[in-house]
Amino acid sequence: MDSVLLLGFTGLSVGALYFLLASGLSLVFGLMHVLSFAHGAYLSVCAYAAWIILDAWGTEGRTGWELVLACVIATVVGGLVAFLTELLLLRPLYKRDNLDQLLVTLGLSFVIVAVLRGIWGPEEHQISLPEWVKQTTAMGGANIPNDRFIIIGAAVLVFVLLQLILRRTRHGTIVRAGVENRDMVRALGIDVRQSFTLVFTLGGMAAGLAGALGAMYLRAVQPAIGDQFILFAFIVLIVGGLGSLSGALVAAVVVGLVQQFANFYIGSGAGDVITVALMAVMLLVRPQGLFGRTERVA
Amino acid sequence: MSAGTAVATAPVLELADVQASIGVSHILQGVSFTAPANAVTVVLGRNGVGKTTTLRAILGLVQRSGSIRFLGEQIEHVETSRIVRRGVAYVPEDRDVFRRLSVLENLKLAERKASPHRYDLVYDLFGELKTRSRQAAGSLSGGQQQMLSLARGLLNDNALMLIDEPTKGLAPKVVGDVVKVLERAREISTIVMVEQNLAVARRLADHVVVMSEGRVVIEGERDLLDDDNRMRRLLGLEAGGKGH
Amino acid sequence: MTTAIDTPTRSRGRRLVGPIVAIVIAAVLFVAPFLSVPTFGILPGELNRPGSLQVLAVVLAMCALAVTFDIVFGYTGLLSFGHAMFFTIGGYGFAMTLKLTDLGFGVAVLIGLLASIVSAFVVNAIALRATGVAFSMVTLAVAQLINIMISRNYLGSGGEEGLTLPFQEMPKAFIGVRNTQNVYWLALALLVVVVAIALWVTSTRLGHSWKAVRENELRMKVMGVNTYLTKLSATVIASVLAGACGIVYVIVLGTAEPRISSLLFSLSLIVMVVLGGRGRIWGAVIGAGIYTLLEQRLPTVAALPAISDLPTVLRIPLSEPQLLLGIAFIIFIYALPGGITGGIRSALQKRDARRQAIGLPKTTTK
Repeated sequence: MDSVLLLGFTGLSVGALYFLLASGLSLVFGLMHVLSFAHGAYLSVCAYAAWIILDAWGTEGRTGWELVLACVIATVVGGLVAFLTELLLLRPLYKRDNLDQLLVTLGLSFVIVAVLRGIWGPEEHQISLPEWVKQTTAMGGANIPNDRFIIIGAAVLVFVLLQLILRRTRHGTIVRAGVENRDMVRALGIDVRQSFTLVFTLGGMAAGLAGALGAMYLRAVQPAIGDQFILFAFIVLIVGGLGSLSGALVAAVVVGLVQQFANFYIGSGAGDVITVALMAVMLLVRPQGLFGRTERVA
Repeated sequence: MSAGTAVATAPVLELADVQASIGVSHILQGVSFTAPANAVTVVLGRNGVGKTTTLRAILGLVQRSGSIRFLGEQIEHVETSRIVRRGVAYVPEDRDVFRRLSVLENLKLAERKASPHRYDLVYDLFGELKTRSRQAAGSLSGGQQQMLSLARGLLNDNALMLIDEPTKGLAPKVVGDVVKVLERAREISTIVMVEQNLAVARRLADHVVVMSEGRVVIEGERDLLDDDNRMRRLLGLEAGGKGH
Repeated sequence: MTTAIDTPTRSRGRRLVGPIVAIVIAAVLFVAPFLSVPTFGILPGELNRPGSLQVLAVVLAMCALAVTFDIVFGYTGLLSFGHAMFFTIGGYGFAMTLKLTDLGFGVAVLIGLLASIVSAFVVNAIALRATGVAFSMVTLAVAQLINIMISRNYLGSGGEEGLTLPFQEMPKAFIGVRNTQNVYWLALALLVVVVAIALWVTSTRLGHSWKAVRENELRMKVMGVNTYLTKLSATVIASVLAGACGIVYVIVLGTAEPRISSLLFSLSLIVMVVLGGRGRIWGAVIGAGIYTLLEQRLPTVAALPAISDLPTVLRIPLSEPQLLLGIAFIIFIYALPGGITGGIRSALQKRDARRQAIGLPKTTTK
């Protein structure tokens, strides 16, 4: 029973990280029809940012607030880089094919990872965390590492915030409508391109937070940290449905839990195989995903 | 109320040799017609001749070339949302309401800054929309969705309304309701309407445009529609006035 | 009639320029091991030194792989993020058989090829059920899965250190520094064969149907063509060829490295093909050649004392070839979407337009 609980929390945390990355990707694809590789790179950059901050803080006076600082700064950095990317790199390409836009995000992720590797080297850098984060809390007979609560809490917070933005603001309504039918939004006199910036930036912020939290979870950063998460973010996207935030949440929970439980009970790596198989099955059986709501799924 | 009293006003919309393509299909091969002010111009033609594409070309939703003048200004190079903000409403074929948004959200989305919002008119015409404010638009019936789509078009002050087959797929009673709404609409806006239903066209049209194979073949006044034989030939109609 | 001005003999001669250049380059490459020519830092030493031949062999194998990717991406328009998995499966299949069994070299090659063929069918048959972005994501997922399995040493695939080929099992002709030229010729032969196959297949009706699917799949479907089979044929052929490239690549390096299963490696194929020019065989060759050469040589240049003393801002771009290549890639998308070959072609066409304006014959055909 206790291992079930532990696996459950671990699965939820991992799922939380996938959700943070996938939420941005889902909205960006749903509205802009661009699969953004850049967001995986933003995750990497912000992971490094978090590491730098925590490293600079040193091991003295660790209360936990420096974690919050690292997360906040990572979120801001992620949003800023995303904003600049959309403004400078993507906007000139809106008249062109979506493929070209995708390729530019690909190129950007290439460049960013190369810069990270060039400045800090290809090796792993450990992250030092305050003691209480590394400790566990006893729950129902199991010892749950405290970082799990932080990560899950952060993801829930982001989900709630995003839902509030989507449902309570005009911009959010525009995004929801645009994901359904972009042409009709334009035909109502709304310039969707402003929403592009909003969605891309929000995705960047979520990716940034995922980077900071992911770095804490893995206790280390290396240039390819984004790659690990991108894979599962894509699986979450397909299973949950492109363009759907709730879909991303549900799928992330499912993927996270399945991965952890299978890895434990069946064997290391089995979870990864099963989640990929899950994605394949979803594609064959229900291509639009669980909650897919875009006008074109692919 | 009809074109007869407004002869001196310049036409709201003028198309000259408009070509449009969707992908590799060259659908419009040179469409030219005028839509007089304060009048209803009905665009007729068989399926597939390019009626819907014409409306979409005016708005810039498809690749287009040629000359399109709206209120005296060329708009063939202007982006869709800017054209709309100059005073155009679009009521598309198949309603195209945002299914996952509520009725009220659909309406609020349509609000444009520079214009008063005619919620009184809209709720007066479409009482149901008020009672069903919070309902998801996708759960409305076809007729109700059409009402919502029209309501969005009537919300703002528009010089031009582009309406695409508003009675398509609706029960006869509902058709009657839609026609009543359109009769109110024509009082406040110039209308260009695609319609396959000849009876509806006869009730509303002031100006008539008939298309075939991506071109306009006849342009004239309302009395054109009275020539049953000619209409039947041009539109491939069966007796009774419904197109196919 | 507009052809009166074009003098047939002259333009026919001009049309042969491309193939002649290719044959000359191929000939030079063939005799490279005999040419003691300085390379001015482009290669580690003179052309015929083993070090230089080794680098060239790697470059040639990558060019072959890029050509196979161009069939999938450039011709058929399928954005696969996992094309390198077939390269990996071929190479690792060969290496694992050689290392973990005693079936010998020939059988190992056969198993490598067999593994590529089987995986090519299975993976592509499933992945192509999805279209557009979903297809791309599936290819990425499966490729990453393979990456994970290798890094965890499934089936003895060697993990992070890779699998070194046991030299006792290798044919003597490929062992030892003295025989680098044989390995080099193997890579050259691979490139020639792959390019020949690619050129031939893309000129057949099947090849034209690939291009048609890229341009307008909907139209083809409407005409009754089974586009799934069309796309499957392109991906399977390309994937099997990639597997063969993988086997040669592993022989050239003497190890199967896990980096060839990484996402970065697969994505670099996209960069190569875009730099060189999508949809053109020579584009893939040129793009891959430049990319791989820079990737192989820049870090060594950057390690020179003169360079490593430079300020960080200048040093890093040199030590990280991906940085420059990524930036070039982005610039190309804006300014030169047709790649290098596209740029050359439009420059030639502009010159033709000018020549036609004053009445001279053209140098290019459509």
